[in-house]
Amino acid sequence: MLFNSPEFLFIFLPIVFCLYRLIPLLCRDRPEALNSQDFQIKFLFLASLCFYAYWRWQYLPLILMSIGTNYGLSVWMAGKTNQKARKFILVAGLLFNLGLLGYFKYANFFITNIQHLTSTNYNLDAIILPIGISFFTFQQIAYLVDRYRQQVGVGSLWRYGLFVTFFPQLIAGPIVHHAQMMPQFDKPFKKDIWNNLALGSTIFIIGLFKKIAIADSVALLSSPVFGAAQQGADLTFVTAWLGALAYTMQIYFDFSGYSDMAVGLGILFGIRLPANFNSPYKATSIIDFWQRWHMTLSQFLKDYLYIPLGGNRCGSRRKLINILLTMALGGLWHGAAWNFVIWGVLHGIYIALNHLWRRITFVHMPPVFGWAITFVMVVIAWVPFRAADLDTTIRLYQGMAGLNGISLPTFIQPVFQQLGDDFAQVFAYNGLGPINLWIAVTILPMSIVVSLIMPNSLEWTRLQSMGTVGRYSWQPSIASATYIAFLLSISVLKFNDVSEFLYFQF
Amino acid sequence: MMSQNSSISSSKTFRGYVRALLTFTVLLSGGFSLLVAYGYQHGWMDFAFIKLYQYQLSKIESDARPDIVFVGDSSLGNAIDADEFQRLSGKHVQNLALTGAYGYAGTFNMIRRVTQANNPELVIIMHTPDIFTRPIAYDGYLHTALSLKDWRDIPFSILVKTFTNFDAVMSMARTFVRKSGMPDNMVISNDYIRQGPALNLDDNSNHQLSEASINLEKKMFLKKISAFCGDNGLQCVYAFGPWLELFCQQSQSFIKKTKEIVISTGLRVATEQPKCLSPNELGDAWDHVAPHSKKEATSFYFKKLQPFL
Repeated sequence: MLFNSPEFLFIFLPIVFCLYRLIPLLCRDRPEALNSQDFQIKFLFLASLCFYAYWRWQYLPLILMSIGTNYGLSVWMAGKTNQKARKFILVAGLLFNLGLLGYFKYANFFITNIQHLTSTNYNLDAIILPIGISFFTFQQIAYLVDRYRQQVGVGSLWRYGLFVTFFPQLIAGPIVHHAQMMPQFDKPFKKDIWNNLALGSTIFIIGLFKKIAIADSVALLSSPVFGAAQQGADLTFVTAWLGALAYTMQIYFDFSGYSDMAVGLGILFGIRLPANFNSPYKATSIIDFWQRWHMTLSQFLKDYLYIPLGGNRCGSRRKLINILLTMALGGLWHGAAWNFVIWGVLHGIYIALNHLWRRITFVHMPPVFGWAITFVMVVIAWVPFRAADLDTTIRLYQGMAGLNGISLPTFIQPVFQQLGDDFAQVFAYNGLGPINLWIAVTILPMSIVVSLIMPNSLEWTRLQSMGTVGRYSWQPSIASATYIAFLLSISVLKFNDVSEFLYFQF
Repeated sequence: MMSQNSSISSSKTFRGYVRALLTFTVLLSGGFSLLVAYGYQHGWMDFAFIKLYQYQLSKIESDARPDIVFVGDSSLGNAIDADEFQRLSGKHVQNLALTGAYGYAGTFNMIRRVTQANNPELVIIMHTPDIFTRPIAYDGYLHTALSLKDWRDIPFSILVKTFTNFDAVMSMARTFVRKSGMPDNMVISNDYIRQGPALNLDDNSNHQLSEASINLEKKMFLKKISAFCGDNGLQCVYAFGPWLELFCQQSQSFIKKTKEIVISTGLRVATEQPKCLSPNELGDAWDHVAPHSKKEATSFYFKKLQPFL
């Protein structure tokens, strides 16, 4: 079920929210033992399973098995004081989780590559990737490691089940830590319904608008460009850069929109989910970028991969290798394809260069230069991430390098003449049509301005104290209500073109 | 620590905010929807073939009183030369072809408009055979509707989807931009939209349509056409538009089944088979006659329709 689908917004969410809020009222006169919060947790867990099963009920046993096994291992670990025994259980858990991920996500990839290398040909049925498996597996790996380190305790199975399946974050994160969620389940849920409803719905609507109105619109520009490259078209400079820029905006507004919706939904149910984005395109270095982009994944990779690999504790050369390895595996986490590995390695190289730069120079680069270099590098790296294959990536890069001609003069000329057929034909010549033209001159520049200048949704609603927006911040006022209602109305009017979130495939 | 009073006041503020948010959303969405509905009613929508539609409407509104009227889609527009048919039949002929985007629904409305202005002897309905594989053209119906009452023919869910659609708002915006000077690139030539380059035949294309691909809902507007003709004493005849001969050869069971469907609605069928086009007669689509073969196609259909004249 997609957050931006009418069945979620008009059926699932209202029913679950109302029943969830009704539980305390129904339990008011019950004995103490029948704690309403326990009911709420059980109810949310079951509702989350329904949410998951709506996509493909056949995979419900898989997620239940994953939860049951990991919970069982953590309980088993709790009874062991011997370090070796605890380590054995941890390794068993890691093998189980990585085996599950390996089979469902990477089996086809590895077999295809082995076949390619050995020139063999096995018949393997395509394995359908269970939605959200990368997220719920990583979350449970982190839990087992934290259990091993004795940083977290063992709660009830219901609470653990909800920690893994809580529907706002089940499909595409944010990746939450046991330590972040369990204390919230243990404290009575906030009773201030109106406060949660106001703030939660505001953040949710901003996310919905980002996805439906911005990401899906700029996708109409990026998709034909990448599609044309895949078909073998030689893209000119402007077209290739427009496509890459459009995808840069699409993925940001798509994923951060989803994350906002998840955070907003969490607040509706009285649960705070961690922030996943902090205006990443404002970053003035690539290290800064990774502290702002998909923050929960970055934190996970740092805590459970980079640091266990040795981090920066084993000399500078090893540190750079660790960075490259972490980023390459981070790329592979996104999908079983070499394109994602290239994307990860590119970012690994960027980060390594950034560290080297900091070490060898004492010159402080002006922020605007830092920002420009970072932004361009990030745009370049998104190309393999989006492209269907290596050939498409190379064609895009050829276009961006101007190897197929730079049609800039013919592009600019008609802008100052008439925004009519002539202009459209310039785009048609570049493989784009009038609709793409409209997006290129309106929504794309606006989205760039929004991502670079405006405060992000969590800053605006003061949920995140990462920046200050002063008197322009959100207030529960008529003006804010009008603005948010406008965003919601536009989103509702665009429900006819509901599309999947990009990160659902990961 | 927040006192009880300030907590209540804060809760009231948030409650007011949520209420305002809901109210404004309902008002704004409702306002957009009403605007779109009004736009449909007043021809403010930027439909892809609006220029053609207006061109055909101007024929109906002219003083001409045709004896024979052709209504249908682009397969008709490219196949029948009204002047040639007039020469062959000796009767006054009008070709009011729209496009596939208007479907049978648009054809139904065109017949109603024609009969409002005049009472022709014969109405010939011609559509491409593969129209049966397409969804009902509700959008085309709304664009050509005669009055608000016509909206009752459209399922409620479709109406909601149509009127709560941001693209419709953008469509109206485009209409206004166009009126203020944006050029319209559709060119009417030889009584219909000028064709693009001839279609390149790809031997690997699939030219076989099966009975399973038929959308039985398409009967809905055919039935309405048949009932309307019957109620108004109009002689209405159905003819299959031209089709690439490879389709004719490989989709015989499809053609047979669609003919049965048309007959089941009460309409008479003038052509057992579509006019099957050889590659050199083909225009810019599988069902478009090349401009140089239009007269020949007209002659073909004249022979088929002669018994009804």
